[in-house]
Amino acid sequence: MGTAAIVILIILILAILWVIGTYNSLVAMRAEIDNAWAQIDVQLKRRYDLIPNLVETVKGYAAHERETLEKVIQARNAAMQAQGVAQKAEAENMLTSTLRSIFALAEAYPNLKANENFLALQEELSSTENRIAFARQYYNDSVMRYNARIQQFPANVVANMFGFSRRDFFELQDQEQREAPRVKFTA
Amino acid sequence: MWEQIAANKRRSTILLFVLFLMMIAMGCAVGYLLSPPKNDDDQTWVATGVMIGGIVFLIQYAIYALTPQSVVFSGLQVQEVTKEDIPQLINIVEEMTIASGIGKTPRVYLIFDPAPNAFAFGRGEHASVAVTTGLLEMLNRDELQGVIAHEIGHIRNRDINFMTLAAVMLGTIIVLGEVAYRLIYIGARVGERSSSRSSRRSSAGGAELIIFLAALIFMLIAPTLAQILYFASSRRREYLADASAALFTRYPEGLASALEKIAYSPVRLTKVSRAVAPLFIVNPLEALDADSIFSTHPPVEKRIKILRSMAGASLYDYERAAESVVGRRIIRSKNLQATEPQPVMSPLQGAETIGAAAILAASDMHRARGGYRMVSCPTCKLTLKVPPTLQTDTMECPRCGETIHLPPPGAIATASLMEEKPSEAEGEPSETDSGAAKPPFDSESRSAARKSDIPPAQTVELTTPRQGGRWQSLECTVCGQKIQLSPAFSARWISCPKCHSKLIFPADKETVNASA
Repeated sequence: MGTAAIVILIILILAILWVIGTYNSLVAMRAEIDNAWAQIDVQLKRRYDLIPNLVETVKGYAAHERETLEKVIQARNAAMQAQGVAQKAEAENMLTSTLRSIFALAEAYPNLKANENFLALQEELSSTENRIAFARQYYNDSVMRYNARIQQFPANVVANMFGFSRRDFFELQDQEQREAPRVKFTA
Repeated sequence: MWEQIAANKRRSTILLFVLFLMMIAMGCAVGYLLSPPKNDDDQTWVATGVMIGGIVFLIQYAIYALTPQSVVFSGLQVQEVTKEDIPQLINIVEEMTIASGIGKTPRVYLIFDPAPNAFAFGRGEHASVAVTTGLLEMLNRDELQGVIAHEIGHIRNRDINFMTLAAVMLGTIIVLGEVAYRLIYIGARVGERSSSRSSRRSSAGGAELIIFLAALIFMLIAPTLAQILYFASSRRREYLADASAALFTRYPEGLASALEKIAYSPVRLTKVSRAVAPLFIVNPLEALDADSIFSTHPPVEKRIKILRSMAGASLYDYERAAESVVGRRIIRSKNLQATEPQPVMSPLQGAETIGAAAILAASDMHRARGGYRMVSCPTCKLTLKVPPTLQTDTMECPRCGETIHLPPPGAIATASLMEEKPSEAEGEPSETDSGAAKPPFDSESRSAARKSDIPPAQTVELTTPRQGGRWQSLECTVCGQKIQLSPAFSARWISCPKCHSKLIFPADKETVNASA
């Protein structure tokens, strides 16, 4: 009776320790996802701030390309107002493609292409594009690890107990890549 | 990623523990040799040994911890780089910081050396990445991204912390081994003379003799064994950093092509100390195909081949590629297959390098910030970069000999920077970049100079033709002073050393050739 009680007590203590450990690691993973999402946000804001400067610079050289410039401004405003992961992703993809059209347009204006300010903006914007891509990559990796973890036994018990829910991926813009199976869970 | 890091951590802990045990054992061996036990209960030699080992370890650690920067950069010309200096480089570092999730952007240093190479150093929050000017000139953006990702991979995998600790332990074992060897040598010679101790030991029995011999052999091979372990770990970490770089960039070809350019570059870093060489992405002091148990890096060719035969960009793909190229697994983690398949991304940017002009501009910005006075010679427009250690008010222009009045230090810094910027962009020659081409005057400054209506000097007979024959001897049209000038002054204003009148040096190579 005495030894049995001790054994049960030890098992109980170990179980509680395991729950605490698992809970903490899940919290850490969730914090990492939030962190990664915040990083994407920082980079998106950086892009919003750069776009008015770019439009002003381009206007000085290619004023009659009004339509393209207005499209960029519209896409920027739409992206700034977008809510939620899925909607935001769509708006950002739209903005990326309109920005590409501006840089394609610059090919026809040699003076614009030689402008120092324009070149600096181009470098900053393309670096921001990269940062968004890398931040999204890191975010998706974190989400994938987290989603896999909360579905695997035995961590899923703790996840259900404390209400850890699945997170959405930040989707890629290319259609083919979207259709390819992004996640493979192995239990 | 996490699983792999956990496996890596476990392996590292085991290695550090083994090195630690070896260190203790070596300490005990030295303690035994210094104060042999007088009887079976005498344990003072253990305490002595551990103490000696501890002291040597602390001294070695202090050397590493107290002077990291000076040790790392000894013999190299280095500057810290900020966003204003080389925006592209800083952007790449920041991009890779985001991709790796290390949180804090490392500091970036530029090494002024034409040999392409890079390394990461420093611990934790104070991690830094250093690249050479040669690397920036040679690599395009994707390749540079691969190199930076490799270095950030080292930071991410905590290789720098680990390798520092392991190196300190290895150093301690080697020092203790050296001491033990000397003590045995002295002991043997003393023993030869007195022979009392050896006779006592032989009488103690066979078992003790075998233990004594085993201890002796251990003492002799322990330093080598520790080195083998250390180097094996170093090579593995290079592979891991390559795998991390592929994962961060999702573009293994970038790093592969960068490694190719670095390894087969005709110039190599030579002024690197032996302690720092293993930190570099390609060890500058090691043969490229070095594939021994004592090399710090795996052979470059194998690293390139693994990167090029990766099917995707994940760690699992790297493991598969490594298995097929070197015939063994490198990451050795159970959960690799569970990770998401990572497609290889297309290259991000075109084949543009950052370029020499930007690097030159960056170094000038730094000089100006560091208290250098940037002065343009009023006669020949040469940009002088006067170091803060030179406290004079006037100096002679090294090209044309004109006496230049220098502004007081400090007052000039910001004003001249604004002035200098456009000329840097044009590639205006400067004193320090002696190798650069020197374009002739632009029309503006030439016409401005003409207004001073001083008659140009005339070419006279060469009085003392020099080796090479292109030097010219001129006669000042004002005072008749003869001036010997090198072809570097061609088409430039000069100042007569005697009467200080401004003269233009004719630019005709034809006459020089004709007269020679």
